[in-house]
Amino acid sequence: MSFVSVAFLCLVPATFLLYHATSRLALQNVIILVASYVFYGWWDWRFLPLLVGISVVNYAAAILIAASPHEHTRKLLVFSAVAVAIVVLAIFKYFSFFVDSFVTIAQHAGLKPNLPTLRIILPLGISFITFQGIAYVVDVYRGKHVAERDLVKFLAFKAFFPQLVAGPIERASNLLDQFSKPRQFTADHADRALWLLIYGYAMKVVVADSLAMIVDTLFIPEQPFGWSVVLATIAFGIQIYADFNGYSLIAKGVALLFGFELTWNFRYPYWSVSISEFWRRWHISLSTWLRDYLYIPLGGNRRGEAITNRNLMLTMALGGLWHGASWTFVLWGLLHGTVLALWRKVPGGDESPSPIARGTGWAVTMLVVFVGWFLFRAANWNLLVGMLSALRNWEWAPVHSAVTLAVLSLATPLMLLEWQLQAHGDYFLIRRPAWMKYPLFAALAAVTIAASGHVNATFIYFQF
Amino acid sequence: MLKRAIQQIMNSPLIKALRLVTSRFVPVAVLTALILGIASFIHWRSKHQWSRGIETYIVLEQIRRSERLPASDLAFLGDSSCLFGIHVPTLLHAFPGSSVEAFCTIGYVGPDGYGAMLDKMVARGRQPKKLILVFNPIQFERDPRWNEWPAFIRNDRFELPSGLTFPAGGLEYIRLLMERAVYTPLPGAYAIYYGGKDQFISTIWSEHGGAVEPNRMLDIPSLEAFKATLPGHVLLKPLPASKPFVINAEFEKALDALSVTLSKLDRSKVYLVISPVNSVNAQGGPQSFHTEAGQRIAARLGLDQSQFLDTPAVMLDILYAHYPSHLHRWARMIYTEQLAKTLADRGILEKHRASD
Repeated sequence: MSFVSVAFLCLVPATFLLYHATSRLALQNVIILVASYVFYGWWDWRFLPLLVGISVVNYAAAILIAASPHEHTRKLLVFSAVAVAIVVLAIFKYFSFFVDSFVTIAQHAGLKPNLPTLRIILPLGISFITFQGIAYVVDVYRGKHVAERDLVKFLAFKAFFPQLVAGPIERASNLLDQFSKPRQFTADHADRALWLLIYGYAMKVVVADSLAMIVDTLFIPEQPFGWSVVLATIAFGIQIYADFNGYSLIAKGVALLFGFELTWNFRYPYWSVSISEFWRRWHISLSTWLRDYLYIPLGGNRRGEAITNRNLMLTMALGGLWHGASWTFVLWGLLHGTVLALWRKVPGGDESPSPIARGTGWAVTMLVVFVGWFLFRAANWNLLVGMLSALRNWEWAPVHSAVTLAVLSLATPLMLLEWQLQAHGDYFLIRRPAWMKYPLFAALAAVTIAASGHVNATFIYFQF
Repeated sequence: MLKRAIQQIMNSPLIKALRLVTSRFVPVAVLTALILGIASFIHWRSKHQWSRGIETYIVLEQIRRSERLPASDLAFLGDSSCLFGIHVPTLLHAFPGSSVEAFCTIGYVGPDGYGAMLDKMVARGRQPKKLILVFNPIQFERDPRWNEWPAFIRNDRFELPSGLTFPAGGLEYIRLLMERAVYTPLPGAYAIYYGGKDQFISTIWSEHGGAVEPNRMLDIPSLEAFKATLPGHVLLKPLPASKPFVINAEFEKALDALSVTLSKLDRSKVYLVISPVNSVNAQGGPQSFHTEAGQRIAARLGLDQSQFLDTPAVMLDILYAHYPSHLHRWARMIYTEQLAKTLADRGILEKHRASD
């Protein structure tokens, strides 16, 4: 079920009514669990057992780890639980990718392998679900969180529908603990939910989906113009941000309706003045996951320059592969890994107070980020090579004026709003007088509904 | 008892939650409805362009141009082979000081429709001093169903009141406002070259009534670069399956309608061009269908045979963006250079001195 579907717009009020009709915590958790399974099963009910299965494995593994007095057994258990998650991910997400890659390499070597091509449907949000499970099991192993014994509570945490298919990858320390305590639904929750829903839907429908139509016509292997490559990449950078941040804001807003606080997944990433700052602001739940469960276990920055660089490259390459089964995603990750490694050598780093240094840092960061978005969007070699070939022709065609106008028209209000949000706080608008805020919210809602004629029901990050 | 029960209900978590939500969401919903209502009203009051995709944009824009532009020294009227094949800036370069405009549209409009456009120009006193009519052989076989196009031009119903009610009208109004800044891509290659409708229309204006057919040669950045690719290309034999170009009765009927309009002009200042086809589609021999059809059409329009201009009948296949009638952006310059030579040889256009 998509956030931009009639079914979802029915599910949320129905769940809201049932949820708030009782104050019994256990019953509220059951209602959340049922709503979450309806949400997930609406897409394809056949994958519900997979979701339940992954959840139960995480649940049981954590209890066994907590109960085991021997370090060796605990290690074995955590290793097994992580292995199960990775195997699930590998089967559903990467099987075809590795088979195809093997066949390509073999063909280049002059061999003609005859392997069965198994096309597996990618379960919605599988990467988010497995990563959240791994984090939980490892946290229990590390003693950072107790193993949850209430199965319903745990299943509801794993399946909590606002964050189920595209995150944030919530840690047990934040979300699971909220399932244990009575949730409040206050005026502040309602105010914030209203703003986040309006802002999130506007980001998704008005900005992301309008740009999606344009980007899709320009990212083609036959692209003849270099400027189209540049402008389509800029448009895609704004599209993916508006799409994913829009989703995250809606998720946060919906969760607030039930008294839950989800973490911020984005903190104005395009205002970053360094690549390391960018990763502290972009898809925060993934970058912190990669830091805590991959980069630091690999040794982090504690074992000298060479190992640190290796760890950065490996972490970012795997982070890239997490996004999709394609070598262009790996390239994207390696680009970020390389620049992160280089950035460590810059004296002063993020701390430079000089406006010139910060301006230069911003420009360089955006250059890297948007080159990265080009690799990210050019999801196969054919498209990548075709688009790169277009860089030979720097003719300015009428389409370029049209794309420039579209990008400026959508990005400028967004930029001004973000500037104000950073200056006055994330919720400064809800604290404005009613005569000021409600007409603004209504105008945004009207524009969003008008733009919904070309709405794309899927979100980019659903495929991950 | 009842009071306590009501109090209990009012203090229940559900009612409390509902009150919190409705007190915030309802004002926004009401204001949203109000905005959509106002937008619906504006939309209902305003007139709306009758729009049916890219063909309509072309026709409406050329009508608009014919209404707004002053009378030119030379004008072109014709089908899409003219729209995409005549490069007016090349003519303006060849004949400095002349004013040349193209009002070419699409083949569906046909001779009758060109007559309708010409009638409007005459009625406003904006008829050109000289006129060139351009027909492509693919249009010789006219389908009677296309007659809605000349009827559309004659009826003058380019703008209609909105039939949309609340809230659809309001949503449509906001969507149209947004489309001025954020375009909806045109279909296929048109999206690659133009992006959206506004850029396509502004190109028609900036090119004096011509446009680029974007289906080929966008990756070649200049005429010189294209000419460098030409050596080695030769005219090919027509494909056995290609249909001969035959003038049908419907086309002749449309010519008759155009002929009536031409009687309002100085017929001696009207010329005829049969635009070229690509070689593999040139069934019936390279010249026969061209010359024969040209003479026949000229006679039908009451023109002297000498008013049928000698222009290429067949051109290399590599010059086409769309077979058999649309030249690509570099080919139209090559073709127009040849046409300019004919116009100069025949004295149809002259170079004006700055003092003229």
